[in-house]
Amino acid sequence: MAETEQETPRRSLTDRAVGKTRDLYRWLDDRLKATVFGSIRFTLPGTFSYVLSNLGMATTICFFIACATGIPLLIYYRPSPWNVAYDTIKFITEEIAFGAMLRGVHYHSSNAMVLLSIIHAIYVFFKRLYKGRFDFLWVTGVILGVVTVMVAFTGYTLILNDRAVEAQNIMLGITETIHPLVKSLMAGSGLSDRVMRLYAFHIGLIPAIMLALMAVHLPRALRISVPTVIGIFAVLFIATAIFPAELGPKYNPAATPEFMPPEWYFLWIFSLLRTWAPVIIVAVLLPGALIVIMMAIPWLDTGRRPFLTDRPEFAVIGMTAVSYWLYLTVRGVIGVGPPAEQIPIIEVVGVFVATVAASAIVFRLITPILKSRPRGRKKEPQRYLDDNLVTGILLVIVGLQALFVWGFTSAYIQGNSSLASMNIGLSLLGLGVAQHVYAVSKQVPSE
Amino acid sequence: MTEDSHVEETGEGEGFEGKLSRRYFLKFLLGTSIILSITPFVPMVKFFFAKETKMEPGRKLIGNTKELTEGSTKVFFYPGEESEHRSFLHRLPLVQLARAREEGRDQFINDGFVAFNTICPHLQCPIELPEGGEFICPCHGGVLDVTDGTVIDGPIPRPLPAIRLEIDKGSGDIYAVELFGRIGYGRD
Repeated sequence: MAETEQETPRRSLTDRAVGKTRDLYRWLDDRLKATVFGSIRFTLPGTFSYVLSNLGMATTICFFIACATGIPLLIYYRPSPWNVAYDTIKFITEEIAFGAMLRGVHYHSSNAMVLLSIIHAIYVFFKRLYKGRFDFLWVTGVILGVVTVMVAFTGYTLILNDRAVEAQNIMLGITETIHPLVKSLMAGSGLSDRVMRLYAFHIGLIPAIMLALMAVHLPRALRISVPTVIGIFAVLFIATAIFPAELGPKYNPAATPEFMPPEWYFLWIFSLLRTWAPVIIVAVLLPGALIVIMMAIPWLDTGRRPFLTDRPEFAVIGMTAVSYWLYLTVRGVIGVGPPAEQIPIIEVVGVFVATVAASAIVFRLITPILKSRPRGRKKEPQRYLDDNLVTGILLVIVGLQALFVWGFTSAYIQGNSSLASMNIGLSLLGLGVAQHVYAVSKQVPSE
Repeated sequence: MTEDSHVEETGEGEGFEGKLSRRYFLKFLLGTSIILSITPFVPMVKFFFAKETKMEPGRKLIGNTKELTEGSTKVFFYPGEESEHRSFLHRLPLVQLARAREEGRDQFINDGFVAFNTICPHLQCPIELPEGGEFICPCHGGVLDVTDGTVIDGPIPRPLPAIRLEIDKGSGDIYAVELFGRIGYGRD
């Protein structure tokens, strides 16, 4: 990007400096092509890149953001029972410079990772991109999704506030239901062993497993859209500003902890547990069966043509799964007491039947619309932006960014972490837009 | 090379027809060698299983009859000090005590006192202080009887583990001496 457009015959000092920098950049760029970066293409898409097809990449980016924010947190966090671990997190949040911000971005990147991987899976399912050679990627993707939830879960049990210990208790109960050996493996014996164990899983074992799975899940040629990466960063900082990572009440073993529903990605199991059905069915066999069925989808779907309308049963199954999952998730936070009210099993079954029927009817109604859409690759329309307009936009963005950096500085001096975070997010958003506009302007055919 | 591949083919095809090919036998040996090499690593999985701390349910002083009025509750830890050992010592009101005696549900009551571990056998949530003769688990809404720990309502599969009490008549000291059942164990 630091390239000069034309050579001038009279080479001034600046020109020579620019030339040398460019040579260095080209040399580095060339040599990096011999490394793993040779298979990654960093792009500045000239059009608004189709967000849905970039979700896998976005999830990966969130994983690396979680690593980058989690590693500094290791410096201050101490995994010991409640009186130590909780205090170190309180210390990070309240005393350490940028501690609250780092925790916030770490927390939101884990949530974003889970959310994006769910939407990624839904998109891949409905586009039926799991066919052919991609069946293997689908299977590794399902496993990666499960492991992603596990890394997020182990993360929030480490805070050792009421909610974390509650989550640990439920984990004890569920693993005990499977087999006492599973409990011994996952939860250890006693709180100090358990905290250390979850810590080792969270920072070492599970990320290592995730990297191994990513090696067999990421496609051979990676395309990374730089503005999207910047956009993800911006969204995480803005989310941190609006919803700071919670600290919650410190766990006190002598008192009954304040009851709170679990994290949003477990609410569906929580809803099912509230029907008072046996734990072994609802929390072990059912999720296990769902995972196996999901992995088997590429072989269950024997259709050859790639269009959704050719396999209406799969479309209906997908629509039912998504909407029923949404229902259970929302139902989980309604009537949680404490104590949590029972959800009548008749309601859960009834809504399921209704969801299947509604999905079938809706799919029937939208089939003509889906069929009328042109099949095959659309030609991307050329976009042109006037050079003067681009210059103007970039100037405005740079001006706004200067404002945000000033806002960040003053917020930091005042000790307002949320406002500082918001300013970083907005400034990054500016950079993303600037990159995009710059890329669009480059599309103008040269005269 | 061609000879090799030929031998391999015959080895796959007619290996057991009396004439075991040398190639096939070597492959078998190599396979056995690999399996034998891996074998010692298999039990190393045991590294990841936690060592259970042995709890000898001994005699433990947990309170005094004078510090508890009727209907009041005290939290104590038994047999160890871990979070799952959290227990309640509860002094039953006279009305409740009389009713429990009438119904013959007084096997855990000692001089009006009862003690239970408070980890819910459903999914190991800590249950709340007894209120009106009932324990309530806040997580999934289970209800337990405070006199004998049996299930009144909800998804809880088995009664709470009770703690046997001994009371020193002279000083009024209350000792926990024995735990009935397994803590947080909900399997059937």
